[in-house]
Amino acid sequence: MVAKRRNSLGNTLPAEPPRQEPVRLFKEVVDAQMDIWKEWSRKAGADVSDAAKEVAPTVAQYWAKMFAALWESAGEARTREDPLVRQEELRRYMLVSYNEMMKKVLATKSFAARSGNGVKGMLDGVKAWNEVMEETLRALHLPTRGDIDELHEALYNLSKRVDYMVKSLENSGNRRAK
Amino acid sequence: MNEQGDAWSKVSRSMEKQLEKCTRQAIAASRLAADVPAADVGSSACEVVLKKDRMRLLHYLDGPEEKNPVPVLLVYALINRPYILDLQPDRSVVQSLLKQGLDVYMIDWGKPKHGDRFLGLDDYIERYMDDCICAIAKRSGQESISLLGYCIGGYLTSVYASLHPDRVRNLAVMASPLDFGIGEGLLHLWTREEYFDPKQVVEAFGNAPAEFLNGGFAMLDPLGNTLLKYLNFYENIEDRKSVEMFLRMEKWLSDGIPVAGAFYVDLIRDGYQKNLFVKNKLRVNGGRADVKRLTMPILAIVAEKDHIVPPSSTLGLLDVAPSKDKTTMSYPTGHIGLSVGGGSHRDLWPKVAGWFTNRSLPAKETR
Repeated sequence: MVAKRRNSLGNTLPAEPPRQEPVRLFKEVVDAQMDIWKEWSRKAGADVSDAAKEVAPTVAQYWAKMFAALWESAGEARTREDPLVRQEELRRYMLVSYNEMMKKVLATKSFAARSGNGVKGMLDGVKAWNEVMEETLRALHLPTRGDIDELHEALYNLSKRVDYMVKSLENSGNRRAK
Repeated sequence: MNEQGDAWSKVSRSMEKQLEKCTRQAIAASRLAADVPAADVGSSACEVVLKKDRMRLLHYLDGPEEKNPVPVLLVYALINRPYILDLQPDRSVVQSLLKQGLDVYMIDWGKPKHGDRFLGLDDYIERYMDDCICAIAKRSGQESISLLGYCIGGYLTSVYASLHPDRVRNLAVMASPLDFGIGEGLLHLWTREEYFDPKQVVEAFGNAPAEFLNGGFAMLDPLGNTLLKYLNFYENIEDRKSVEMFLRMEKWLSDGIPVAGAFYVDLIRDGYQKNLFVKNKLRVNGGRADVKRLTMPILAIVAEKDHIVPPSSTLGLLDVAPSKDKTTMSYPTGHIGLSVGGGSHRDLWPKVAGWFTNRSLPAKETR
């Protein structure tokens, strides 16, 4: 049992001295940050692990083929009439195989999801920038892209209506002629 | 000792040959750098018969005096320029058809600007294509004409034919994404609803930028489009014709155009994500694009090694169209090889021209 602390007047002091409070609060903030990082890395790790599970067999298969081709080439180099031509063929084979492997990786759902997220992030950034520019121009009382787009839309709708009216008149003229 | 000597002499002979080859290639490269050939494209003589906003309708003037009375309208995609169909005189779809006596027209969609972001599928079908087809019908005195759509142009021509079958005599689609529910192809995976929202592109940029689209296409064949083609180019650098062809292709690839925002959303959402057309649920300007009205002769041209539009996506149209005259022509080449490959022009295009010619007899003589 912790003895109660008293000051010189005999009054009971608080159980924890006040100077411990900032330390405790700082510790709580650090713990919360660590929880956030752990959650993020767990999720990222899980995503990476899922993606790796999806592409690993394909990558392993293609690397095995390329290694086999290298091994075979090393074995037959001495018997070839023109060893450097074989090197060229091998380089070409490796590049084509690597290309095929990349295409297989690009055809996975993990890649599609990631690239979709990447594109979305980029587009969100562009939209945010556009909004900032709009607000800036508006504050300077200058026409914005939004203002021009309104005009474009009005012109588009007008020209569409005129086109359909002309078609309608031509069709009724043709029907009367027949 | 003898074996070792033989091996060393083989290596030294091989190195001599390689060095000679590298020297020749280096000389050819320096000559090329000093005298870069002009990459002339789209050189067939033509006249502009209709202009509307950014679109132009071109009529080709070469070929025999006496032409087949039923004209053919070539409709290319809204991505990249249409002169891929007239890249060079010996690799030109336009010339191949003209030589067989067909009267050839082509739509040049032009380059959309920011104000064109509201143009959607209904505008391209009902306002631009319809005007072009009516103009051609009037000029030729025919009630209906033949259509040949390449890539997304095939989607446009098929939708048009389902809305106005009376104006389409024959329909040919070439490497066109029509059935988007086939489950093949990287584009079909990457544009799924759970991964991609096309509206975000339009909200950010207005139109879908050419760089954004070309980046996606380049990723379909990552090393092929970034490294292997340049290695091939260097291997063939001594062949002047091969170099000129490469430069023309590079010019076309770098000459990308943006896609109008509303059309981009219509294509991805209603096409790639919901596959409305072959399900007979696509609505254009209030009317339904009814695939059951596709009763005209249909030709599907597919590239067996197409990594952009799987052949099954084009052939899917034949499964739903009730036409009694359906033909498939396939060739072992890639998506672009269909229009610019030497083999395609030697073996495939005379057959395609023959298909049009045989089905372009006067109405009372048909079937």
